[in-house]
Amino acid sequence: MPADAEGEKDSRYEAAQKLISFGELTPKNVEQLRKLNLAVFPVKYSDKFYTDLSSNPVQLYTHLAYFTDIMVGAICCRVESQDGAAFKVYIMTIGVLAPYRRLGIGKQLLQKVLEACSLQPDCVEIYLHVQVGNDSAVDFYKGFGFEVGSIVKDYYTRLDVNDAHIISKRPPFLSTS
Amino acid sequence: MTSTRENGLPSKEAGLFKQIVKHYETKQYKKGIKAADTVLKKFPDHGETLSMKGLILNCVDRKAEAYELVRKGVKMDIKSHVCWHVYGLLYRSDREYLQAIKCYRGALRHDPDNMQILRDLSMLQVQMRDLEGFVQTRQHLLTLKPTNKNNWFTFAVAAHLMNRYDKAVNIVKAHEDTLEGTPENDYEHSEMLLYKNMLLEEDGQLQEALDHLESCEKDIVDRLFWLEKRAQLLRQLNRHADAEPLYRQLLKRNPEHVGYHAGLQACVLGAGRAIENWMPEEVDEATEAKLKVLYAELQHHHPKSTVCRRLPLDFARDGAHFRIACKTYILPPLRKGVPSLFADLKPLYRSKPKAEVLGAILEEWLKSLEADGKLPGESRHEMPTVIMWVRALLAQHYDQVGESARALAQIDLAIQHTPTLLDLYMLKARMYKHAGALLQASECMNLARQMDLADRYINTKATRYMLRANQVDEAQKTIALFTKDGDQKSNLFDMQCMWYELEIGQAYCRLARTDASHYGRALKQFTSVDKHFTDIIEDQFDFHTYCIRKMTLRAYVNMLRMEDTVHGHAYYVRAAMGAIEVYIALVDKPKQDAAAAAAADESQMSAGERKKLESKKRKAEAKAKAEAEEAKAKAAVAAKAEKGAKGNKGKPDKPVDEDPEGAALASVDDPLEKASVFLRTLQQHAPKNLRTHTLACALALRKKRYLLALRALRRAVALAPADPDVHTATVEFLLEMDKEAAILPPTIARVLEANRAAIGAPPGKSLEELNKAFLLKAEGAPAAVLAAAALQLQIAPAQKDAAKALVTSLDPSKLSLALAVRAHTLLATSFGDAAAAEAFGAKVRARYPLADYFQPPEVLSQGIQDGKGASE
Ligand SMILES: CC(C)(COP(=O)(O)OP(=O)(O)OC[C@H]1O[C@@H](n2cnc3c(N)ncnc32)[C@H](O)[C@@H]1OP(=O)(O)O)[C@@H](O)C(=O)NCCC(=O)NCCS
Repeated sequence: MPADAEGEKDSRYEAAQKLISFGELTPKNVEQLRKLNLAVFPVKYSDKFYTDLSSNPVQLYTHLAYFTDIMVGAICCRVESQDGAAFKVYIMTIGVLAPYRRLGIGKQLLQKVLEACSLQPDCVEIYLHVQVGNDSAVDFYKGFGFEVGSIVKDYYTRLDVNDAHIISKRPPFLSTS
Repeated sequence: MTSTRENGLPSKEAGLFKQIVKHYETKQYKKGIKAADTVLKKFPDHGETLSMKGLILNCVDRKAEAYELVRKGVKMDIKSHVCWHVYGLLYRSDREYLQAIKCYRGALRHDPDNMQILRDLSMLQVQMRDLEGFVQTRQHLLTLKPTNKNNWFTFAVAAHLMNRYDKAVNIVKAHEDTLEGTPENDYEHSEMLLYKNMLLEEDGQLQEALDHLESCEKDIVDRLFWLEKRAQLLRQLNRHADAEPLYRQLLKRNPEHVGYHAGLQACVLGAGRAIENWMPEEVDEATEAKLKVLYAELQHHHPKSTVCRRLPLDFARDGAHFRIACKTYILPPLRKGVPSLFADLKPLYRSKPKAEVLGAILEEWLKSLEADGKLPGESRHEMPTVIMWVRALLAQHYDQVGESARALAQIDLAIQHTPTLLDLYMLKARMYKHAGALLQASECMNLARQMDLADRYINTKATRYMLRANQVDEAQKTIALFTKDGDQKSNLFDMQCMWYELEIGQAYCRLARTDASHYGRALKQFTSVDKHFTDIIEDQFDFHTYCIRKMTLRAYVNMLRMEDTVHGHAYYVRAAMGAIEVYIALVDKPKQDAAAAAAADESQMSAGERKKLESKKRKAEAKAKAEAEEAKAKAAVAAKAEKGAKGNKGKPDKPVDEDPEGAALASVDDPLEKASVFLRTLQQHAPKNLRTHTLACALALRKKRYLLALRALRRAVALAPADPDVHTATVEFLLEMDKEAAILPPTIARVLEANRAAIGAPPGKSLEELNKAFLLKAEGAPAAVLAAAALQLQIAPAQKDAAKALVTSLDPSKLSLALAVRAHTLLATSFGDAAAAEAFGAKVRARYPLADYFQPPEVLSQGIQDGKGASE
């Protein structure tokens, strides 16, 4: 890549940062999240998924990303209690609309959740499933110091590839390696 | 209200009477009634006490008793100005102003200089626009009390309203002369000077106005107005060189003010007229060149101003100039993502060449962005939103030029790109609407609504789209999401939500074509709008004293003028026309039904079928009647319940709607008379609207008032001699005249004969010839062809096929959707040729594949589901 093209790319990335903002999920805008997920993921989530999420969102671990005030990304997690006070955070979905990728939006969404985790001494792990073969997602998590774990056979149903990696991270959540 | 005359009571009772007046003024009604009763015990026929008691009873909502007592009071003491005044107050509280004026005059006969009564009278006079009387009363008041400033200015305004500018100026001047020293209140003094300036300007004394303005510069508080006015007067006096720097100064304050731009342009061009909208104007090369230079300079000085970039799009005539201007204007909001950008461009579409350039530019941009993410000639990669907004613009462009299919394809691509943006679904809904797919449009707009449940605007839009698709129940539920809970209907009425009342009223009108029970509901809505306008007129009342006291004279006069023309507002016109149409339908419908039944009789309908039809009709009638009664009963129960609930609060009850479904409105004995009331307002306030006169003609014909019909026709012909509706009205009128010829009174017949030429139908010319001539002149314009065909059928039913051929030979690709629908209905109903209608419909379907009207029912429901799928 010639040097000036690289520079142009950087300045575009820079300029984009000013246009990115974040917001909360509410019962009023949950339909937009549904549209977003429908476009990003091959699986279709149930109505219950959205009603549960929006009527009682775990605001610490659910964030929406906006580009020029248009919703273009979201991360949704749930909290799984362990023995005693301990809990795990499970990332149910993280997605950014295709035309808005590689602008740092996904990174910032995940970063917000990791920061929230790091403030909770009882949070023992954050983890998720990634479809085997989704290398860009794997690369994405590796950049945050996640570890790629075992494969769960037939985690998905009705997809081309139904197996999934378990990808996880333990404290300290904000370290990258 | 104190009695100056001896009222004939002994001192103890006289004291009590004073108490009554005081209790009334301090709203202690119970005590007032008690005191009155004490007096009346001893003097049961004392007029003024009777009146006062009546006045108080009126305040506690015992109207009937109030009127009875007050009338008795006047009778007992016909010479008492108090009794008359109270009588007037009673009428005034019921908004019966003309009656009130009579009573006040009665009072003044016995106490001509009573200032309180004179003031009350004058307020009614200006409210009723009895300007002559208003001037007299105010003059009288000024003579009685010249020390009161308000008396001067109300008198001046009175003269002003009569267009007696010289007199008004002199009154203000005379008052000025009485002033000495520095004014007490700077603002009021300033307003007085500006009012005087307004009078001079309106009188056409521009030089005097300018001199006056310049002489009082230091006294004017509203500096901006002073500057604007001075610039305007200088310009109007052709002192362009002096006005120009002022406009530049104004633009520095606000570069987005189109009026300043127009002023500056006129100065630079040395033109006599300031032009705010250049689109419909002739622009020669020299003018365009001068403006081009001016705007290059203005854009340089005001780099942030949108208007400086937008105006060249209007005045550019040269293609290259327009192209560059477009790019300069569109790029910044495009990159920023301004959803309303296209609305700003829409006025340009009245010029076909401009529309073409716009389309070409957008297509170029899209192609370039698709190729490498850059705009033509630009080096940087655009943000991801840019291509999406270009698609949205292009889709709107296609939609605007009538290419629905391309529009929908393009907006779908934009939705695919950013499916979370609800504006795109709104645009798509509008495109469906333009394609005639009202159900899909409504569905899609509702989808957009669901994406942001906190957005009132989109909720409103969704409601409107539902109503367009006749989905009345859904619409009522949707609008209720943003009204106060529970009290939906009265809440919308209280908020004077007229767009809604009109839309739902029109929806009921459409539904009424198949279920006549909806006519009442439609009337209910149109009547509500009428009431709002009455209230708007009514609401002036408080301002007559308030504005003078606050010295906002200019605003006051402007408000009065606005009120004078408010019934010409599009909302009122729509409501009034809607109501008239319903009343006409109520009169025509039974006749049409009878005709249809007769026709059915003649045709080979079996006895069984006929029986079925009749019993169906009877059932429908019974149902409508039962519904009306039930509604009435319900309303009565509700009224009782409400009274019970609120009765003990002591507040006056909100009047309960006795006819919430409008059943009573639709069952009046004299629908045509009711329609005429609306019509008269239209004739006064919307005389330039062609429909006013065609409706007037339709009404008059049904009332068999042929000379009125003739007069309406003449007005219509004067407005638009070649209009198909006017031609139709004329021919239908003449057909009716032929039919009635035998029984027409000779005087009327003579007038008709004498006026035939004036309505374009000179004697000796047959209707057939008239219609042929009209057709020839129209040169194939579809609306005219349809009108002529329909008339041909009525004039010469025997030559049905020739008339039908006129319709079937129309080229569907050149028809608007509305005309296509009309052509189809004409074939199906008037010509009664189902096969021809279906064949024609098939051709229209190729042109308007989505239009609901031309879908077979199965396809229609299927289509909605597809629409849902496509939007996701
Ligand atoms: C994964 C996803 C959320 C990333 O969103 P994003 O906004 O594009 O991510 P970012 O721009 O913040 O990228 C952060 C880093 O992740 C890595 N990364 C992201 N996408 C990548 C890709 N396609 N290839 C390689 N690395 C990638 C890069 O290191 C990137 O940093 P860089 O752009 O400076 O090189 C987005 O690609 C997506 O929605 N994918 C589809 C849904 C999905 O697979 N979700 C994960 C499973 S739940």
